[in-house]
Amino acid sequence: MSEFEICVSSQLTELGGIAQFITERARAAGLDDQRVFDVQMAVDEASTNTINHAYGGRQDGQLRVCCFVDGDDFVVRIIDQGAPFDPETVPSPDLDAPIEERQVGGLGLYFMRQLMDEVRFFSDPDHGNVLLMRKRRA
Amino acid sequence: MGQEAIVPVEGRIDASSAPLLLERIESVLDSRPDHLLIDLRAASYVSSSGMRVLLIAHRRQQALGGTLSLINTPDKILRILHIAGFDQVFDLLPSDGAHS
Repeated sequence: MSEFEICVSSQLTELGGIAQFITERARAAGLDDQRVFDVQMAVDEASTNTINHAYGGRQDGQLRVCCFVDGDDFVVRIIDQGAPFDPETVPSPDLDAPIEERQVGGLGLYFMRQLMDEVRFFSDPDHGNVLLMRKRRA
Repeated sequence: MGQEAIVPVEGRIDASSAPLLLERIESVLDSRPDHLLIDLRAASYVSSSGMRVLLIAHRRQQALGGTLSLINTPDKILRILHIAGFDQVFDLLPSDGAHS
C-alpha cells in the first residue's frame, strides 16, 4: 500500500498546490471526475478551516496531507498541530434561509460531510489533530 | 433594460483567490450597474469562500437596487451550489444575454 504526502506551511496560498496534489493522487487511484472533484473540494475546505481556525491565521504552522488507497476507498488524512477542533461546536448551516439571513460559516464542514463517505476528527498525542476522510473509489 | 456589467471568473476561487474576486466585483459595483452578471464559464472550482463572495456581492447589489445573476455556470459548480442550497438564492442564467 503506497502512501503519498504533501507537507505545506499554514498559508492560504498553499491551497492550489494541495489541490493539485490530491487531484493527481485521486485520479491515479481510479476515481472518476466527479469523485475527484468531491475529494478535492473536501480537502480544500478542510485545509482552509485548518489554516484559518486551527492556526488562527498563523503562517508558521504545518499542514500534512496524506492519502492512500484502502480497498474500495480513497483515504485522506490531514494532520496539524494547531488548536483542537470540535466539530460538534459548528452549527449546521440553514440551507433554506432567505438570502438576507444566509450564513456561510459552517458550510466548509457541511460540504466535507456531503461530499465524502466518512469524515472523522480525532486527536493523536504523537501527531496532533487528525482529520480522516474516506471516499468510495467507484 | 438598464446598464449591464459582466465579471468573468477564471480558474479556482478558493480562500486564497476569493478576496481578489471580491475586490474586482466591488470595483464594478462602483459604476452602479443595474444588472451584474458573474460569468463562470471559465471557473474550474468555487469553494465556500467563493460562495461567500458571491453572497456578499448579491446583498450589496440588492441594497443598491440592482440584480446579480450567475451565467454559464459549469455543471460541476451548479451541483455544488445545489448542495449548499445556493441554487435557490442566486439567479442562474444559462448563457450570455439570456435575461428573462
